[in-house]
Amino acid sequence: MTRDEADSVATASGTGNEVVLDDFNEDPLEYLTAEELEAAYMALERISQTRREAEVQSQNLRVG
Amino acid sequence: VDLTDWDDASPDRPDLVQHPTTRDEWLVALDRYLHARNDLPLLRCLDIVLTHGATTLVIERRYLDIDYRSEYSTYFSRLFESVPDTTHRLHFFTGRITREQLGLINEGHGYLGYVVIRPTEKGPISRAMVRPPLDVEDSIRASVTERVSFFGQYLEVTGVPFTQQDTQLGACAHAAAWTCHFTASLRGDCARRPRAEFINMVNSSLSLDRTLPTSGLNVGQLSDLFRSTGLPSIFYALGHLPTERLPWQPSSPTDPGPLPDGTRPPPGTWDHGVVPILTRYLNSGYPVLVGTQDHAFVVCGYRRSPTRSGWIDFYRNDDQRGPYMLIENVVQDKEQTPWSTLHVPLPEKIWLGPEAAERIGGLALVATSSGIRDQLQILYGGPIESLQDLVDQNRLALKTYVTRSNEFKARLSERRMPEGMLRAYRLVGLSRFVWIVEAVDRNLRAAGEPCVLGQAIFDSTSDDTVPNLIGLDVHGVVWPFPKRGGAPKLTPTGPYLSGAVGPP
Repeated sequence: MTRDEADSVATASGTGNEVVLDDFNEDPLEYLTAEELEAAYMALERISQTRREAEVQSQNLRVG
Repeated sequence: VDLTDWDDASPDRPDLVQHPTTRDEWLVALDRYLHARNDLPLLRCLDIVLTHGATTLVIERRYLDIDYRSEYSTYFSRLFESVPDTTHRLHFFTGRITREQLGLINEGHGYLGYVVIRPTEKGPISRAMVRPPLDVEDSIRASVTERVSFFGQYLEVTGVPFTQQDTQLGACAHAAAWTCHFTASLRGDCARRPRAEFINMVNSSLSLDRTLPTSGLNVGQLSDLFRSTGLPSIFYALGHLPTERLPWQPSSPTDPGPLPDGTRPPPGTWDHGVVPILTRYLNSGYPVLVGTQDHAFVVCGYRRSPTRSGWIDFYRNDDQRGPYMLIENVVQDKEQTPWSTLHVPLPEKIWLGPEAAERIGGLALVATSSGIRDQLQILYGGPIESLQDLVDQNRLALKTYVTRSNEFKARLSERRMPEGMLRAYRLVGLSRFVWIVEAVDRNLRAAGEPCVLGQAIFDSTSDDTVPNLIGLDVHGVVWPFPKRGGAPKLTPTGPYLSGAVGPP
């Protein structure tokens, strides 16, 4: 990327500690592709499923 | 335990203040409290205070311990044999304190904590709070601070509470549950309950056995006990732990299958997936109750092994052995039967789990880093190493913890962050608890340098299926609350310090 190209996508406004980046995505999750997000949410479903399995398998355990 | 003159609290008795100089002299000083069924916990407490150089023992008699008193009402007062209703509280100091100084002690006393002795040989330690050994003090991440009234003066001790089961009223499971509870109470997460409530509140309909004399608790009773005492627990079972890792994280263990004799090895002998689960809660300062095949104890700390690269040493409070005991290998625990379950009692509104937060947080941090790098290199006028570059070099680790958002904001100023980033986070509203996922450079961490390159912040009231990202920063760009239109701001920074409890 050349400096000119960068200027077209990276503009900043403000001064000091309050520099706002006008052309960055407003939500960091937008940097993920739709496929990546879908795969992530499927993984989260599997985490929940594992938790349910753990409960079923452990009903009769006793300590003490 | 010698009960002779147990209730004699006269101020001129000779054993009120003692100054043993050798371990043998300390054993003599504590002799009346030894010779119980299990002396290991008291001896462990003694050895811990000796590592600090304890020089003074003060024995406070007729101490009315709320926990023992509750047990007395529930059990000891109902025995045919008479049992005293008071305890002795043993105080330990590094400074030399004389009898004449009691009530007037000055700074520099070096208070090391206390051990409350109940008048029974079945399990003498009612409650103890002793400072951890110096070499592991900052690794005991579940430590809390207790304010102790010592003959009219307030002293403070920081550590993890300890208790010993009495074997009849309470078992190891009750002791471990109470340890988690009293820790939370001192942290301000719940109101304090006397220990007998941890027997009286057990749901007996969840078990076929009677509750007194106790035969321990099953996992359902433990979960119910935590729920009914205001700290509902997250439950895990080894062999069924969440195995979802990011592509660049170490792979999860798999069931090795049957042994040659056809039996299956217990999950506690191979499921090292328990390690990242424990560390996430300990990073947050929360203890974890571990259930083995026949015992329960509380994991209260960890450290990166000084002798084995990449290895984690854990520490536990084991009511049968004492506080701050080293666990060298969680899947080959020589002192216990294989681990089976974990209970993590937490404030009720931490609904989001750490596994889901870490999964989305890690992805978002890496993707955002890659997505903004080219633009940032122009703005910064120099090259930036993206998080993906670190992944490619096996340098990126994630550190996940939960904290109160007020604490998160307050501690930002201790983390060597630029003022702009600090203000960006402090000026937005956050949920009461937040999960934080930090991107850590392993090389910087090993060098003892500030090592956090970015962090993702999650609303603890969101759920595991759609964790709610409410803040993120990486490479000095901060999104303080993206879903409410918080525009990204440039706050150039280098690596900063971790906000988690304990060493990085």
